Order: sequence, then structure tokens, then C-alpha cells
Amino acid sequence: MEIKNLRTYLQDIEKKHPEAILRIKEPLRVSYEITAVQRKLDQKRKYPLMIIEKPILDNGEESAFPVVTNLTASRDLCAKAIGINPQRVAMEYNNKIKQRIDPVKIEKEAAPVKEVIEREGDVNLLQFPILTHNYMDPGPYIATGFVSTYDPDTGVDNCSLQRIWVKSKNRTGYWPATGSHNWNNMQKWWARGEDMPIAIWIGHHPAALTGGQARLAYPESHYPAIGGIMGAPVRLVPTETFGDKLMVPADAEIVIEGYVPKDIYEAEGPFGEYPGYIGPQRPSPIIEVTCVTYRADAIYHGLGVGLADHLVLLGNFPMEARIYNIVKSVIPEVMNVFVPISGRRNHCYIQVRKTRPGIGKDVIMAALPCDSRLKHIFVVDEDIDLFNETEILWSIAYRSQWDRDLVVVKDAAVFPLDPSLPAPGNVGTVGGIDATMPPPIEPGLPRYFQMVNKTPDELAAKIDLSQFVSKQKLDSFPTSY
Amino acid sequence: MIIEKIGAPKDVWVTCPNCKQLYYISREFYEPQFDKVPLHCPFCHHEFLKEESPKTWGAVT
Repeated sequence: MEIKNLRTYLQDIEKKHPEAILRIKEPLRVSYEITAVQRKLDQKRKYPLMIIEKPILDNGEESAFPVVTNLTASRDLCAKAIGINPQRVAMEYNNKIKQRIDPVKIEKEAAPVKEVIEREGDVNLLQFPILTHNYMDPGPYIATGFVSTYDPDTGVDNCSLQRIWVKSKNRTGYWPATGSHNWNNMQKWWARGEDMPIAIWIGHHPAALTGGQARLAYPESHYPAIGGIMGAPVRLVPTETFGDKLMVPADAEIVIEGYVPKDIYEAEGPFGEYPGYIGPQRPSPIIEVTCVTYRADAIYHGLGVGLADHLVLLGNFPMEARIYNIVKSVIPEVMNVFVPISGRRNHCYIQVRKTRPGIGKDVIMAALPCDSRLKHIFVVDEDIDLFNETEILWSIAYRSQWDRDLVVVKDAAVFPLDPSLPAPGNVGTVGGIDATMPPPIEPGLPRYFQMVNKTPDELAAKIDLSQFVSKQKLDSFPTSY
Repeated sequence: MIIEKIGAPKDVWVTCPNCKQLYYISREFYEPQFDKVPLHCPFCHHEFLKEESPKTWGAVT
């Protein structure tokens, strides 16, 4: 059985795409500095996979564990990691995830993540190079932790990327967004008068990470979906604290186990989140850590919070797949779906083959409820490059009239991380713009709309820039905007 | 208090009584079940009740 994990992925990238790796040998502090480098690169739209060999902890000591970050920032690399075309994620991610592969249980002795086991008083989360990302963050946050819980009624597990503020060696803050599946489980445990068992796994193959973020029903385990995306079963191992009732990936780098004590709330945040804004401090549950297990030479996976690293694989890919799946079932003319970095999960571009009037608005109405994070839908024609935002904006500029083509829905349920929302913040306005042209006059005839400028077809096919300029010279030419 | 575009204040700005720095908290802290949860200054880590903030903007009154 092929084993996939963070290490096999890094080896694969080293071998096939060494140019995509930025290895930093100079010491970099875990507080702000690593994210600062990542942000500078992000501003230049450069997304190398970063390996920080000498992370410096807040106590001034060099960490025993290196940091990998920007693992999930490049759309092209992310798509390669799961074996799909970066411009056909909506379709191909769905195909992968439909091929569910059940996980397998392995013995503790064979589980790499059990190489070191520390319990109770020996637990020290502060030994790991956990990043402090943004101004006003109150301390180090695990932003790459897949929080695993289970439904006490059915025993079905769930996992999700959720933020964890490390407050001390064995105590953390924890923010499960209201309505999330882990939040549902927590409410059930607490209604029984019990603390909620919890385990957090950190560091795995990108396919496992994105499968852990797949948009599934409740209750439904993510592990078969992860298997589908990896093309191999996830190897699970029982937790030390909860045994078979709550299992974790054996090939992870680090696992943290503990309880979420009933009805205990402490201040959590402020925290710079994926929209690019610092969310307010909130009353949130906490985690009391009972045990930590990890590989002896663990690699800590850090995340560029609020940057492309936070978006592409961990949110946008699963969103594109789900939106395509649902909207295509209603409007078959849907061709592709793209959730761009720029909109930070609030925006979605959908391409349609406009065969009949009105389907642009149908697409908007079908897409909006697919994900609570969706705020604005932009529907464009098949001649528009869905991945070129200049073309999207051109389409809006000349193929829409806002009084006619805008859809506005007030008082819809929305995700709360949007500073423009009115208080209290869970209800807002969503909508979309139909930026498509009218359909053809009749099949086989042109659209009833002015035609786009172009070079005559036969001449366009003959012009090849390489006849006039080398690729190197071409790349050096000034651009414009 | 009316805030341009968002109407009623979405978040409440508080001042840490220890270091005097400003930051903001969710309105959830004004709900009865969270009313006594101490705030935690992200700058100096001082814990305080919201009533102890020397100056507050956008609070529910």
C-alpha cells in the first residue's frame, strides 16, 4: 500500500520541482517573522513552498523542529499534489472525492506519529515552532490543526481546520464557528453534561489536508473522502486518551489530545483571519491537553494566515467542487467554477454556455446557498477566461446593466467573518451579477449582441510571437494594468 | 451610536486598563452567558472585565 504523508510530498517536490522550494537557512522567529516573509512573497504573487530550518521560539531558543509553510499556496502545485488540472478543479476534485476509500486501522507500534508520547505533566506545546501570524494576535496559533471530534449519538467522527490559540504548555483556546460540525458535536456532548473529547492532527500530505476540508454532510467522516483524494486509504491509529472511539492519521507529524470542558469560556483572539481582517476577541471554549504524540523528527506545518496559503487548497478547491456539483445539477449549461484568491471565499466566478435566456440569474440563485461564505457570484460566458480577472471585469463592464442583471438577496445567512456586515453579523446581503451576453439569435447564428474585436481567424492562427522574440526577452518586457 | 455603512456598532472597542492599548471585542461578551468572561489584552496579556475598560466605544447600553 502506497503511504502518502508530508514527507513523501516534500521528497516528491524536491525531485520534480526543486525550483518551487525556498529553503531558509537563516534563523527566523516564529513570532511574525515567518509570516512577514510569506506576506512579502504573497504581495509579489510568488508562492514557493517554504522550509524554515532554524525557527526561533519566543524564548529565544532554536526549535528542534523545522517549519514548512506555503505548502498550500500555489494553485498549480496544489493541483499537482492531488493529480488534477488546476483549471478543472471543480470537475476533477469531485471525481476524486466520489471514489471514497475507507481508512485502515494500524497498530500503535507501526504509527510514525507515536514515536514520542508525552502525557499530562510532560506535555509542552511551547516546544513546537507554532507561529504568531498577525498584528494583534494574542499569541501563537495552530492554524493547520485538523480538529477531530465525534458525534456522541452515532460515533461518527468529523475533522475540520479550526484555529487554536496556544495559551500555555497544556491549555489552548479553541474557536469552533457556530453551526460547524465540530460545534454541533460540542453542543451534543455538553447537553449530556460531558466534556467533549478532541484530537488535533498537524502535518500531512496536501491531499489529506484538502480532504479534511471537504464539504460533507453531518454526520459524515472525512477519512473516506481523504482516501478518495489520496487514492489510498488513510492509515488511522487510536488516540492515547480515547482509544478506537477517536482515531487520528498515523502518518501525521503531531497529534494533540484533550477535552473541551463543558461550559468553560475564555476570551479568544483577536485573530487575523482568512478574509484579511483581524476578527474581534470572542468568548470561546478551551482545550485541556491530556497527551501529545509526534514523530521524533517532526516537521511543523505552519500556515500563512489570511494569505493564499490559507485559501487555495484548504477552502477554494472544496468550494469549487461543491458549487459545481450542485449548480450543474440544476443548470446543465454550467461549464466551470472558480473561487479566486482575491475574493477570499466571498467571490465565485461561474462560466456558462448561454443557450437560453435567464440562466445567468438561475446560476446565481442556485450557487448562493451552496456555501455560507459565498457573497457575490459573477456569471460569465464561455469565451471569457475564467482564471483571468481582467477578463472577468471586462465582462462585467460591458455585458451587464446593474438595474437589470444584478441579483440582490437581503437578510441571508452568512459567515460572520465579514467586517462590512451589520451587527450582530450572521445575516447579510448576498447576490450576483449576470455578466453574460444574450444567447444566439437561434442555434447556429451569432448572439444578438455586438461582436468582440479580433484578428481575422486565419491570420491569428499564423502569427507566432516566437518568430519575433525569444521567451526570455518576452518575459522581460514591461507589463501594464 | 450610528456607524457609517454598518449601522449599529458591530464590534466594541475597549481600552486595556493596564497598557492603555485599544482593541476590539465581539458583542457576544454582552450576552448574559458571557457577561462575566474576562477580556484578555492581546498586547500585555492583562485580564480584565469589560467594565474596567477606561474608555469603550460601541458598547450596548
